[in-house]
Amino acid sequence: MKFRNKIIYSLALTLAIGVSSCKKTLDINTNPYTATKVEPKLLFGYALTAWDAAKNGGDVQIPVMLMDQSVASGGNYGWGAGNVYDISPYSTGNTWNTYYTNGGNNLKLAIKAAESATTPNKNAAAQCKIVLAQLLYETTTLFGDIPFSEAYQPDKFPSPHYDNQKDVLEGVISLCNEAISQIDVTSPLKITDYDVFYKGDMSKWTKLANSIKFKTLMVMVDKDPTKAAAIGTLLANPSSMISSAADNELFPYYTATNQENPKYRLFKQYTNGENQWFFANKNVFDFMQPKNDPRIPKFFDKGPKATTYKAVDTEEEADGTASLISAYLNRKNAPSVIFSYQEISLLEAEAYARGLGVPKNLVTAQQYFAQGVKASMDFYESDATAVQAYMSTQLTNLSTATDPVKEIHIQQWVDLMDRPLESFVQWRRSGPSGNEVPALTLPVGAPAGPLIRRYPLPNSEITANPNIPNPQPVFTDKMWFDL
Amino acid sequence: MKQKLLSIFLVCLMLASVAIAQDKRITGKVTAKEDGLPLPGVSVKVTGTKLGTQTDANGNFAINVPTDAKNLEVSYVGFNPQTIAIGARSVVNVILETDSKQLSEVVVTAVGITRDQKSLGYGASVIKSDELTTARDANVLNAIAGKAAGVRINSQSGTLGGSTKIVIRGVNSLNGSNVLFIVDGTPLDNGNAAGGTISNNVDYGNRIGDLSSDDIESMTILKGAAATALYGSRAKDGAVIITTKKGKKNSPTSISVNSSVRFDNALVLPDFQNQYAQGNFGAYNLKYTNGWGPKIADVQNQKFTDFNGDQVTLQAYPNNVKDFFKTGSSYTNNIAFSGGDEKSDYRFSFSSVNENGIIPKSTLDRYNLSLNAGRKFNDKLSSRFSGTYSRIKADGRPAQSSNNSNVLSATIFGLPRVVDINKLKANYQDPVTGNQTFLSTDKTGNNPFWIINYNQNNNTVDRFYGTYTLEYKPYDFLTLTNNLGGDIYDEKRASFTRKGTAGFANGKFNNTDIFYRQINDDFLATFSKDNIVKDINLKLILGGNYNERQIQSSDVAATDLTIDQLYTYTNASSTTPSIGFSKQRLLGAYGNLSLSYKNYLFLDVTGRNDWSSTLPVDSRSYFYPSVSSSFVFSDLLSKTGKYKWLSFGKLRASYAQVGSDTGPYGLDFQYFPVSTVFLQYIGSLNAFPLGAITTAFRGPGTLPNANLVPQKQNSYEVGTELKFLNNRIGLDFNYYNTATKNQLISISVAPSTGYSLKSLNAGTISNEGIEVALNLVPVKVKNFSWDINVNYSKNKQKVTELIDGVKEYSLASGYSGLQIKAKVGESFGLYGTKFQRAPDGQFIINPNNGLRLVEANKFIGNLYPDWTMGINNSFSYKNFSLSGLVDFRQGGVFYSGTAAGLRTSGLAAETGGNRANFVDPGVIKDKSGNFTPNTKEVNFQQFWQQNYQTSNTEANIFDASYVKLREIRFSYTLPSSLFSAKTGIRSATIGVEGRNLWLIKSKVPHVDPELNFFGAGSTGEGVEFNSVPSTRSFGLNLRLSF
Repeated sequence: MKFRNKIIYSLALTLAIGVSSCKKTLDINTNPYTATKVEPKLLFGYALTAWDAAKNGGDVQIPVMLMDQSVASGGNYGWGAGNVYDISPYSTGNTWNTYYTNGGNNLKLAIKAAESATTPNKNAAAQCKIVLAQLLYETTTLFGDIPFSEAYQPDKFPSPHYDNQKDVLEGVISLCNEAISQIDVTSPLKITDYDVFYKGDMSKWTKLANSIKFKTLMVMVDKDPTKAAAIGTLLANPSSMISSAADNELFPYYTATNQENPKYRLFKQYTNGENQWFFANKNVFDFMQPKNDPRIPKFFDKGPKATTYKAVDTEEEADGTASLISAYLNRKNAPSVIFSYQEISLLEAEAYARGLGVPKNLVTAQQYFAQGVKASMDFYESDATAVQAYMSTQLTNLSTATDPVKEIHIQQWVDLMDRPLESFVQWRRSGPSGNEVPALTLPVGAPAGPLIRRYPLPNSEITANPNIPNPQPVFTDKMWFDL
Repeated sequence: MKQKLLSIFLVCLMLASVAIAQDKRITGKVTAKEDGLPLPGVSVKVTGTKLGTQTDANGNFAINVPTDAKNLEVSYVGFNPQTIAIGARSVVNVILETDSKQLSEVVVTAVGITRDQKSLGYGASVIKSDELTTARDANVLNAIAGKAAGVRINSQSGTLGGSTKIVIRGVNSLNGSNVLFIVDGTPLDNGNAAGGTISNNVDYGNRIGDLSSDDIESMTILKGAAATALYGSRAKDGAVIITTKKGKKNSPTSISVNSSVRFDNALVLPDFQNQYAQGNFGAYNLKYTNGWGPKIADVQNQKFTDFNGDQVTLQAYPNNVKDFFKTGSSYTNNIAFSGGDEKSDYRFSFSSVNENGIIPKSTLDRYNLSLNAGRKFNDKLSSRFSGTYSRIKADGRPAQSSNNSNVLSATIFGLPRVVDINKLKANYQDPVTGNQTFLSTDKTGNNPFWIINYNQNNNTVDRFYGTYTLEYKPYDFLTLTNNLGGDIYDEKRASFTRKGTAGFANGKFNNTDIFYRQINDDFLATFSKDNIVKDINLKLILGGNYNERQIQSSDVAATDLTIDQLYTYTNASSTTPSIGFSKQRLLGAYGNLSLSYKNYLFLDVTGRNDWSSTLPVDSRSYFYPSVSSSFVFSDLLSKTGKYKWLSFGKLRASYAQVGSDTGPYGLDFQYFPVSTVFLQYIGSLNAFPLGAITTAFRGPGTLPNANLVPQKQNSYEVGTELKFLNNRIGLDFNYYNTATKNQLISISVAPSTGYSLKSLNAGTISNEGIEVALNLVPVKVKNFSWDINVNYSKNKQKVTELIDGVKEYSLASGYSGLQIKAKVGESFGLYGTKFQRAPDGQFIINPNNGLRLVEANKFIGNLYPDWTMGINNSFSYKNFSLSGLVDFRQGGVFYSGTAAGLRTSGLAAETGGNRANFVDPGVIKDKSGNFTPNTKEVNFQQFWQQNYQTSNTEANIFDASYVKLREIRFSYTLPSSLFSAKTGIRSATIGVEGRNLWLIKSKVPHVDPELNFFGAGSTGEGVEFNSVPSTRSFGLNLRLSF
């Protein structure tokens, strides 16, 4: 080889090494601390936790319980006097994000991971779909018309269209049906350890899915009476739904540090772990007091300067004599109730009392009514003797009551006091405008006009989605199911 | 000691000379022809010998010369050298003339290229060492405030060692502005404290604050893209080129000492009412830390329980807030040794800053050790090393903003007027149990003395940055240079919350460890040839760049401690660790061709190609060019002999395009491990492991995009530099226009897509503005001169384009509905809740309670000023000099969360006085939309509590304009005759100096309008939320050189 060639070759070689190492130098754009593939349960666990924290925190629990007036703010003595209808844009935004990004989208990603696995994990997909159905049920009952069919598909639908609430609720039912058909109780492939509700017991998941369908149909039936038939079908087989407290869907919390209920953690951070902000509202307490409801000592703590229980109005200035929402409800390990036996029992009682899909039957209604009221008292660990006494002497007899359906609504309203998202739906569906149970009046400080009916859409959606409803609904606008 | 030896040696030398030859002593004075002023430091040599001396501070010299000596050579930088015959004289006075060729200054520009200022085709501001070393500020960036046109400097908080934000020529990007800092050729990180609404919001400073101003020779601020084109992407928001001081070749060791002692107090404290105690609707109640209780004068016949459980008669303590703060002190010292021989030079410097803040228990210590050493190995090869080690230790940085019971200013400003600060200080802790004595009965508010004594936020930084330059000059026309540099630091942050603290009864602590490393290498080949064609000089630079940046962080949050005040992980019942990491590389190749014609017409063309690791493989290579030109027309005119009133005139113009990349890891779809979930009023809530859910992952919140392309910025500028009447009047005018297109941003998408943001190329932001610098010398006589420097800048920012269908983009969020947004057709603005108004502007009142009605998400005002201006006046008389800098800002809005807090809690002065119900002037809107005057009375407390709450943005919005006396300096240089040679002292200057002295005019009550709670790293500004008050400082300075 000639010297000149040597030089040329070595130059060419150097250049080649240079170019390839140059490429190597730049190929470092992979994050060493993230994963490109994960098991569905890891996303499922995150989605559940994010969802439940949001529900029990300052973006949902606090504003909704004040605006639906199931809890009182105590004015300046407590949480602070203000316009309880002035919902912070951060709360609407964070809530929306929980349903669509932190919660919903991670469930969607988990479903995709489960279904696209070499051996598809159908049960895991079903578990995720049932929870997703609940998220979307909450989204639509809080915001009204929402993106459903075009949601969670950024590439195909960068600006999702809004579906009518009716279609969303139908979609919730379809999601449940889809999940039920996917469930294979014999398959070992499922989310087990991360399934904090049922530890992988797929038969309980089926019951939950049917219960969600039932609840959804009960929300729809006033506006769309044809739903009565489907209600009847489910009622014909009550054991296909939640049929004991053991079937309850509860998100558990613990006494260990950082594992406490979010309601407690807010107090832990600001008020020494004790509730100094929220008070018994007459709208709930006044139903309980005359009958010496055994849940009173579980729901409320007497004021530091009081010997008796006393409730205040929503924005009334409280003092040391006003009863507080109890330390029991806000205890560290209070589970977050997502679906309960008492809830389904009272809905069943309502269906029989109103004759929805079944012949009206106040006797059967009474059985479910008693079952629901007792389940609620038991769930809140009320004094057993007092419960016994209440059930035998105070429980309303629906057959003799002037308005049996109202009596059921009262119990539903009381039972849901610590679950404001549900109590807000319950109040709106309990009767046409002006005839809801309870009859609420405009809270002090709220702008003149009708009572609040929904959360407004969040700014994040208004500014980034050209397909939002036009005109945008305002907080006093009723949604489809609300008569 | 060395000085003594040297003196003895010199004396010996002189004695020896006397013994050898007959000498004669010559004395004299060297002055400048132009103004007759003495010139210090002028070299005076005896021709043909090695004998020589320098003039002293008064221009005097004395030298012993051999009797046969003929001539003296007198030379000084910037003046024409002279050779003077001695003859029989023993007194030789010399008058030196300015060297017209040297009139323009040498400026260090991109990649360390030194250029004649006159040849620059773009605007650049140079801040000289003098500007930085007198009236020093611990953060060197603060010393630029008001001194350079087009450069906006804002100190973010009064936190000791707090951060300072710099914006050059407006914000160009939706991601904010990131100015590039270069020290001796090596880029330095200017990392900032995370800002915004996060809880535990502590200002940990910006990393450029680690520099010692005493080590800086000059700072060149390159503002436009043409100036920074060679740096490429990283300098799209401008660059600050810092050159450190060197030793002088051929000079004996000299020692300089610069010492200051300064005292600080709060510049602005809130105005309080002093008539009402704490309580609710006029009734005293210890549960509240506010001012809504009874009128103190009305209850003098009663006793009330105070926070300490004592029965007291209420009394106002008007100074309780003022007395919480103490006089801060700072000691800034620098000692530098420098010198050199023919081949080598060195400078070694040690700086220290020791500060005690106005907040008790807050301290800052900073030490810098710097070495700059150069060596010329032979005619062709030379090298230089410059490096600095710095250590910062700061304790007691206060928490600001909200959602944290440790927020200090909220606690202090929120003190009820009847609380005696001395009693509070003496009783913050129960002497028996050691438990905290809370301010309020519901134990929600921490005692401020508990916070400062036990709940501290501390940090330490160990940092090294340095550059090694090797220069090889094989031929006269060719220079090969390699600059290898690095910037490495480790920062440790710790925050402690003692058991028994409200909000964290069981205590907690956080440790954060941040490791940063940047390695940079530039290789340059410079060809330069004069008269390549007749009258044309050429310079061609070809270069390559390698840059790697890595940041790694780990954070451990530990909660619920077993043993009190034992901050170790095993003592905590829960620990949550997390890791952060990012690494990116950039390769660049660039060239710069400079041509000059007869030294009055200059043309520069540059091009750079970058390859970035953060962009998709197909689009990671990008090229961008620039061209700039300068025409010194006065050189042509002077040849005509006319226009003598024009001393200097230049026109300049430039055009540039700059491409830039994005952050790493934005391309792949990834799942992130998470330990927290969001909980309103707490923020990130440590949640995992949670029972059976031991590990949690989530998908990305930002939809990644594998098709990103580089961002492009186009800019042009034209300007002129004019000097009249023998340089007595100087004017520098500049117009620029910048458009940043295809921005690499994460834009908000409809969350119903499952994602909050999406990475993409979108949006155009333009900035257009003028910069004017005016220098006047109204008086210049023998012993007196008066200089005026004015700089004025006006920038108009406009968002010209976002993505299709998107009209606005949220840049930053504050609390309670306040947002900073970009909207098409507008500049960045502040948006939030406004009062509803009738068409005639009157408030619309709620007829039920007499309160004003509000509407959310409205435009409130512009974020940025219409214009800013700095005026510096300096006077010098003999050895005295005095200068003062006044800083103006006009326009923009400012939101004060502190004002909101003081008003809603009934503590602000405006909530005092008569608290009877009244009718708020306004109108009531009826159902048919008609307006009638309001007649509904409103309760006084409710009026303030409801209308001025933080969520009513407009209620606490103010005009952000201000006028500030930024700096005052007075100094006196002692006559050199005072110092005998024995002391070794060559010069001594004493001075009085003050910074941030006086807020001359402000429309913001209660706080300094410059504060910003978003922090220096955020696009957000103009919002303050319980910020630490900024300080005014005043002190003495002594400078000595040996």
